[in-house]
Amino acid sequence: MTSRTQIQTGLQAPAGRSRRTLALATLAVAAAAVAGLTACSSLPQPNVRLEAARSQLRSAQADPQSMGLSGPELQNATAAMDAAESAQARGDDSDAVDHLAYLASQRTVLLQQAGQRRSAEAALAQAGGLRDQQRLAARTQEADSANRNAQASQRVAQSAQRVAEASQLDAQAARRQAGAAQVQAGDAEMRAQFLAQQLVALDARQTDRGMVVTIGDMLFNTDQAQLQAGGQRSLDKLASFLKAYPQRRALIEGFTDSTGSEAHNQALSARRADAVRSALVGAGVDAGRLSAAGLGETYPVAGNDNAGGRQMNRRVEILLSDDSGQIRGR
Amino acid sequence: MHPSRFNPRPAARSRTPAATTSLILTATLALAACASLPPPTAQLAVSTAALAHASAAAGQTPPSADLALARDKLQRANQALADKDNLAAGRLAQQAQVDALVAESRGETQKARAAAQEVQAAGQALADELARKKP
Repeated sequence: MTSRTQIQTGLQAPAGRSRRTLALATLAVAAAAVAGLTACSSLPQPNVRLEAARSQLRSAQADPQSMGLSGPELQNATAAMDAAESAQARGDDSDAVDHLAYLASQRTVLLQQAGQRRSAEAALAQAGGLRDQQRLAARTQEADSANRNAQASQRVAQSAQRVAEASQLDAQAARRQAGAAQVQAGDAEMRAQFLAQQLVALDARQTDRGMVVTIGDMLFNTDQAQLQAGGQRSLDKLASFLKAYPQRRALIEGFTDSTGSEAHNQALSARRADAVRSALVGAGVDAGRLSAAGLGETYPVAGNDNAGGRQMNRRVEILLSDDSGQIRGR
Repeated sequence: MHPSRFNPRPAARSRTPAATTSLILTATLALAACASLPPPTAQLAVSTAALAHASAAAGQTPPSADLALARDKLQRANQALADKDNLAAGRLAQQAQVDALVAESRGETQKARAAAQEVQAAGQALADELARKKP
C-alpha cells in the first residue's frame, strides 16, 4: 500500500514545471526509500477513495430501501464513515485514510444489501398474504355460485356475506388468523409460510445454533439494564411468536464490549439478559420456557478497538429452540 | 507543526530537499512508534470467525469474488503478523472481516430474492388458475 495520491495531487499545479519535476523526483525517491513503512505524519491531500465512499453512503442514505432498517447496518456505516473523515481531518497519512474509507464503503454495501434483503422478505410475506386472500376469494366465489343455483338458499347468501366482510378486516389480522387456522389444520406448507412471516417480522437471523433475535445496544441506556420503548416493541413480537409456538423455548444471552472490568461487564450483561427475560414473562410467556445468562465480554461479534465494533458487541441475543424445544450449546 | 496544512496548494510548499529530509526523519520516528502496536490477535480471531461463517453460509456453491478476496487478505494478514508488521496485519484483518461480511450478505440477499420470486410466481399461477375457474 504506497502513497500515490500525494504525487497525483502535485501534478495538478500549473506553474514551475522543471523545478517541480526535480522536486517530485526527489519526493518519489524518498517515498520509495520508505516504501512498505507506514508514517503517521500529516500531509493532508484530497483522498479519492474517501470521496467515493462519502458519495456512496450519501446515495445509500437517499435510498428509502436502505433507511428505516431496524438493524445496526446504518449505524455501522455512518460510524465507519465518521472514522475515515476524522482520520482525514486529523491529517493522517493516505494509507490510513484509504484503509478506513475502504471499510466505510464495504459497510455501505452491507447497508444496501440489508435494504434489498428486507424488501425481498417483505415481498415474500406479501406474496404469501396474497395467496391467502386469493384462496379466501375463491371460497367466496364458490359460495356465490351456489347461491345463484339454489333459489331459496338464504343461509348460503348470509355465510357468503360473512366471508366477504371478514376479508375486509385488517389484512395483517386476516393473514394471522388464516395462518393460525392452517397451523391447527395441519397444512404443512401454510405452517411453513406463516412461520417464515413471523421470523421475518421478528428480524431473526439463522445461525448454526438456530434462529437468533438480537436486541441491539441502542435499546438500553448506557451502562444500564432498563429496556427502552423500542426494545419493548421488539419483545412484544417475540412474545407473540413464543405464545403461538408453545413447544419452543428461548435462551437469552447478554453481552458487553470490553470497556471496563470483566466482573462489571459480566454483571451488566446478566442484568440486561434478565431484563429481557422479565419483559417476556410480563408479556405472557411462561417463565419456565426462558433461561437468561450473562456472558460479559466473551464472544464479541466485532472488534473492540473502534466505537462501531464496540456497539455491535453490546447486545442481547435470544436464541430460539427448534420445534421440539432443543437448544444447542456453544 | 505542518503549516502546509492551511495552504490551498500544499503540494507547492513541500517540494524542497529540506522538506524531503524531514519527511524521511519523521517517517523513521513514526515507524518506531507504529512498530510498537500490539499484535492484532483479537481482530484476527474475529476475522477468521467471520470468514468461516461466510464460507459455511456459501456451502457448496463456488466461492464468490468477495469471499476469495477475504480469504486472500486474511492470509496476507497472518503473513504480516509473522513478519512483525502489526499495522498491516491489523488493517488486512479488518478488511478481510468486512469482505467476508459482504460475501455472506450478498449470498443471503440472492437467496431472499430467489425465494420472493418463487413465491410470487406461485401466487401468479394460483391467480391464473382462479381466473380460469370464474364462471
